[in-house]
Amino acid sequence: MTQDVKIALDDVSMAFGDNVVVEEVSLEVKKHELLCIVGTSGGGKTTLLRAMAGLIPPYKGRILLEGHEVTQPTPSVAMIFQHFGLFPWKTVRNNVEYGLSVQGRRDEHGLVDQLLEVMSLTSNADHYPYQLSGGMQQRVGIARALATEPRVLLMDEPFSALDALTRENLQTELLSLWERNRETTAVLVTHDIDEAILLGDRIVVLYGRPGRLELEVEVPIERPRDPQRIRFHSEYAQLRNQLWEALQGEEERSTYEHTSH
Amino acid sequence: MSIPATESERSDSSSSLRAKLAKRWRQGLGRREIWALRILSVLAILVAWELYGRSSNPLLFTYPTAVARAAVDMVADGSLIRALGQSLSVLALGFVIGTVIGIALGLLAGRSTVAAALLELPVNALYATPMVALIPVLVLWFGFGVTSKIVVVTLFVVFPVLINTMRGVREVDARLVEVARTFCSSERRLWFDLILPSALPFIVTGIRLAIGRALIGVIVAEFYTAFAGLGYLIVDNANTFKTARVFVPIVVLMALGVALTALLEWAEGRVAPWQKATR
Repeated sequence: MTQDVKIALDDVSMAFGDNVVVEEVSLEVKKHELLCIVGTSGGGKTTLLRAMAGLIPPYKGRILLEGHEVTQPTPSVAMIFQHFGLFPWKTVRNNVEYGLSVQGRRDEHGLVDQLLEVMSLTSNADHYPYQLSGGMQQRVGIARALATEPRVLLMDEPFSALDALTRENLQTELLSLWERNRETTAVLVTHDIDEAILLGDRIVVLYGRPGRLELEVEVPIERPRDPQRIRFHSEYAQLRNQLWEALQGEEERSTYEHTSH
Repeated sequence: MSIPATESERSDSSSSLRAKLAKRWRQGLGRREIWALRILSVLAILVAWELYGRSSNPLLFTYPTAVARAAVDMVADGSLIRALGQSLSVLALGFVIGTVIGIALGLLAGRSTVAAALLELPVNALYATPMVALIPVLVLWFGFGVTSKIVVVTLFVVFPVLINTMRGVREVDARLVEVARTFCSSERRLWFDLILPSALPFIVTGIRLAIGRALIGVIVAEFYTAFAGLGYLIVDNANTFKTARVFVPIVVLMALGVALTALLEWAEGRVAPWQKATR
């Protein structure tokens, strides 16, 4: 195993009981890379991410993090959730501090304050989550994950519960955050092709039931990227089309299967 | 042509007035109006009671002003205060013991399937049993003193608290448990960060149910046992047909129930401010 591979999936299948949802996925996530996993909903991509986090074991195959098999969650991996996953009884500040405090670590460099500042949460630090909009809540979720200075950041559809405008704003912020400081390795699960192109270094498409890895492409658009102009990039339309067809193929195939029965 | 027009106009305006009244009937009252209506309803009950009570046999019924006079007498001769003190001490002790046991067992049963399997049948059976039926036996076991009364109150309190606490622990958001797991939380931290705060509103509900039951418990226990407390005051005065004096401890109990429930709500708002949002 080379130093450059952060996470390796080796013939991984995922199942709930006898119901196989992901089949034989082999995949490598390189160090300091942002990999996007795109698939339609119910395609097992979240399941795969949860396995990378050590929350559920693979049905077959193994997952290696820095060369060691993942069997349980580790402090060097942090996760951002679609449902934000904030504790309603903790203030914004206490939610952001949660990871550090639960891991018995001290905030020696004032990172929590910095993250509150970066995420424009300083004035809401003493508020409870219910007092915040969805976008602000997810800022807290992002800050909480970053506060533990994870080596791997896993993001499970982090923006799909937000309205379109808020989503674009947060995508832009995550993009600039990522491009400023590329210390971590990240995996982002999404069903949004444009989000994957905007943020990802590489994109893989899962499709079928059970989900299989069918397409794996580099995003040929240089960083830093401009969210307003990326759509006019010469490679954008072709890549988007390629991904769209890969995702579309799944539906055609399943309708074909249904009619042939 | 003009007559039907005006008629329809008239019916229009009357129906819009009716709609306005109907809307007001359902909603649209200010705080002050609501309080005015509340006070009005209490006054109406008191006046009706006074009028009817004055015209009926004083051995069988009474009326508010007579109750008020009796209350002044009973405060003056010290009997009300003494009885209140006796009842409150039993209530407090039994309540604290019952709540502590209920919460402890409820937390255990909520988190451990073994404990839940062991506790489920006996707890449900005892919760369904009218505890009043046990009082004669408890008196036999614990005597006529304070002990048996405390045991009665404890038994009245323990089950609603236990069952609600258990439910609260089970209703913990599984997604937040997963969040805690990804951040590598220990089981101990999981309790403090997640399980206890999310079970808190359920525990409060259990305690709210327990307040009413504890008041029933203490009074019924005093009916059966030693010559002490508000319950005894009720029985004693009823036996001697001092009807106005019977109602004084009843009113005190009513006030006590209302006050304890309000106190609980206030405490909940202080301890769990995030709860306001979900109400």
